[in-house]
Amino acid sequence: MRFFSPAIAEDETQALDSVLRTIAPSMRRWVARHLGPGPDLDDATQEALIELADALGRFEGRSKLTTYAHRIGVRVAMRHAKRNRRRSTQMLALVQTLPTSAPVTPEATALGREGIARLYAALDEMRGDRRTAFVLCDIERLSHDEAAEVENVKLDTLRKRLHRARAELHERLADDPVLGAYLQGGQS
Amino acid sequence: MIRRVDDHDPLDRLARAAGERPLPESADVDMVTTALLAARGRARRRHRTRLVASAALLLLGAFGVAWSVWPDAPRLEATATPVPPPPDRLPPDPLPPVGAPARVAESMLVLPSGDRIVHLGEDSLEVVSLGRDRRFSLTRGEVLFEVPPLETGHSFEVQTPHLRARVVGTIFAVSADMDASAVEVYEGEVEVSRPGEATLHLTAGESWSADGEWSSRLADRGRQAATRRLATRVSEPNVPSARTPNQEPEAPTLQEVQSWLADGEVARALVAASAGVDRAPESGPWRMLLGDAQRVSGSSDAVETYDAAARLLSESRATQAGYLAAELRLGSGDAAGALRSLEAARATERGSPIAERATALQLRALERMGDTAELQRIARAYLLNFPAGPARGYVEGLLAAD
Repeated sequence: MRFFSPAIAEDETQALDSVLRTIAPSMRRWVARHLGPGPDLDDATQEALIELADALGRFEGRSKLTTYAHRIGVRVAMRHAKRNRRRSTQMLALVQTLPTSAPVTPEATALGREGIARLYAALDEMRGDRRTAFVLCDIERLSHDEAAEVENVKLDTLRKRLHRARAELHERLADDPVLGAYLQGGQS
Repeated sequence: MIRRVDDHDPLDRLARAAGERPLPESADVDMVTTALLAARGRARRRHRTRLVASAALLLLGAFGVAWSVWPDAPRLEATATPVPPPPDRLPPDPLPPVGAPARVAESMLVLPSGDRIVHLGEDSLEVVSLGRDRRFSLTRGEVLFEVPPLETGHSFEVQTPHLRARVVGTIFAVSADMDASAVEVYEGEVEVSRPGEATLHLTAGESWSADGEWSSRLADRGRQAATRRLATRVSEPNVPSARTPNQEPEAPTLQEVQSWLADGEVARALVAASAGVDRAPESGPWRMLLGDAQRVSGSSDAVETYDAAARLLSESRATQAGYLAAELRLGSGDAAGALRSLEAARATERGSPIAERATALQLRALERMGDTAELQRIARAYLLNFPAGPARGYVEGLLAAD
């Protein structure tokens, strides 16, 4: 069974429009959480919505529509993340220079802009499947079941990826001047 | 399944902070419109590809049948089996005479950039790219483009199989079929390029087509849009003309430009910060922000800008600007220049909020220059003033080496 005809007719265009309008805010959030801070959010969201509009004609209802859309968002975001590894370093350089009005404590720095930029810089260096598992479970806060469904993998596979992603992040960030001490001490 | 939440795991807290980061605002509605337009173009292209593939299969089938029925027939006769052309190769509908009403309903799409696209529902228009460089591909049909004045660095192009129309800010119609393409301009100017031919510049009221006689079925619509835009300009004298770049209606604040930069809108922030410096040449914060934007965009101008900012900023902020200038200078191999920037900004002096980092940078510059005596003096001072400083290991190494 197909939910939308591949040749998009006028009434189906309205259905598509309605689906896209409903999903657009979530798509933007999914893409943002996978990409991290950077200039590509609008471009990547637009690209993901175009892919979704294009793919809805092939949607057969084997998963929830939101899961299907989420999967597309993750795929597009990962493509952009790969392209922009160098830019994440530049963003890191920038956030270090931006003044802040908040009181600067090691924890505030770690959990603020700079810490998050450093986290994504480390994620940029990781394997795509581990990165995705970490973003879905720990940043987007999906349950393991939901994340496995988005990734279209078995629950065990998802858990292994997540476990390795966390271990790798601890290792990668151990020497980080901002996050290293925070992660080791909890508070620093 | 309930997911694990561990408030005591710092990595978990960090990940949650990343997940709760607020998102910049966006025009989701415009994105949906653009997605629908693009998806429709893709669907049509796939449909066309399928038709061509079907025709090719038909041809192969006919060839196979001919070959099996007449195994000794010469190859030329077999391939000469008549095959109907695919629908997209059928001759185009003849264009109506000048002034004839449109035969099909018009519909309009408005892109996030403000461009209005009026089409007759029988076109094959594909979005190639959006954003700063907006490109469209029109292989069949007739489309009217109403393009607001372009901002600096933006472009708008329509490519047909026979020509490329590049605009500055205008209203124009493009028509294309398998044999020829045509352009008609209602406002502004369009640059028309064709392979192997001289570039043409069409202005309002002019048109070009291969046979010299063509008027768009959307001409009335185009003229109305041009009149509407002219009326808007007359009633609002501050609105820029069609060929001048858009001016910001109100200059952005320093905080706005900072947030653009933090959100990665580097080019936008660079332009705005540069304008901010032009408006307030004695403002240290604007110059500092320009330095940040230049630095992120990879411009070597950042060094001079940071040095200038250090001269204008309050003492504590000046140390930061001087430090950044020094860091960039050292990175480009100018150790002496790095020391000058640190000294001018008094970044290493007691009371400087970044004295520790600046002193460590000073040591790296001195090490690069091979100034051993000064290196030892500063290294000892570092250990004295910052006994638990993060560069302690490096500094002890310097002293041990000497």
